[in-house]
Amino acid sequence: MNDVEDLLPETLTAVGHDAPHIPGLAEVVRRRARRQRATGVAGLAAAVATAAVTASWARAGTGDDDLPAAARGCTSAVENAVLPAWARFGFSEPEPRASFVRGSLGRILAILGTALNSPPAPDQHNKVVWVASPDAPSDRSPLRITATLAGTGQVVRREVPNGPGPSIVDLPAPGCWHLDLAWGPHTDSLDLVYVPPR
Amino acid sequence: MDFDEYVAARGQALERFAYVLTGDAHRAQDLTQTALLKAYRHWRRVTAAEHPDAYVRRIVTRSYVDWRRRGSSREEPVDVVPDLPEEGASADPAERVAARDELRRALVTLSPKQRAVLVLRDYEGYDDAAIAATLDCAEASVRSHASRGLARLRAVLSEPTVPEELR
Repeated sequence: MNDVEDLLPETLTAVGHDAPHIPGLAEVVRRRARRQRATGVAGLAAAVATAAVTASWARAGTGDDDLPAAARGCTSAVENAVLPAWARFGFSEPEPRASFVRGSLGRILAILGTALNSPPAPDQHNKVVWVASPDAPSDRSPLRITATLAGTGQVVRREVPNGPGPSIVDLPAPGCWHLDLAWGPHTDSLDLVYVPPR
Repeated sequence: MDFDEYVAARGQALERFAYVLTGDAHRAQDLTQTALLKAYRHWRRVTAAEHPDAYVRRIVTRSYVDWRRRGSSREEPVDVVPDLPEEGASADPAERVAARDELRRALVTLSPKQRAVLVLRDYEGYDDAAIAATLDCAEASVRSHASRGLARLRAVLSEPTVPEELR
């Protein structure tokens, strides 16, 4: 029998030969850096603006048309702040700041790497890191996502195989998506805004 | 060396390294870009390092281990992996390729540190000291992860194949 130790180097080399290659990698990275700088500032501004617009819309009793198109129907705000202590595992900084959305029941957090795009931007994934609160811990069973596009009733389902953790969540249209989340015996829900890529 | 020159020279090797670590095309791209993004932001610090490439690989490796620790993997371990070919069969190139494929499938059963250690050792050719520096752990811990990882692969590959109809 071939010994594992003997086969391993050539096996790993064979795996490496299948690696995907992105042309213009340096420029892709620079674009991501520019976009993250913009999102850091704009994310907070957008959250504040959405909250402000929602509040004024509620006070004035005007119609849904007053809301920014992508955020129409959304109720969860993006926070740009220091993460709750229970959501900091894996971060090197003691008090990491991030853009995130809390579940309506406070049982889960969606940490957003950048703005979410639909269709997905060619050089940037829709990365969402799901963190379950200690009150609703993951048992590593799948995180099931049922996403409904506000104003249309369009429903799609996604699954993160090993439960809350890093994921890439692509959704089929821009707009406000209401996500019903279920992992193990726990549930929660939140809204995420997807915008067309710039 | 500026950032563009570095990426032109080493970018593809980094992409391969990330793919060997993760076994997932999307995740490998994300890992490569995330590591290069961190390096780009601290480029002066990277170029001041004795071995800039090792510095960037350290970012990739630690990001990989953190990602796996956080509990998600798009790789699904296979339920049953057949035996490797019997002794002597390795002379047949086709059977050796088949053996490699089976070993490749078995890699998903490794813990993140076991896989990182074996990839650094058997793909990158790092010695124990360099692996320990990359993973920020003791050399004894490196040897332990390597030994357990290999044992795990041997155990998975020695499990008997269960015929479809008996599952």
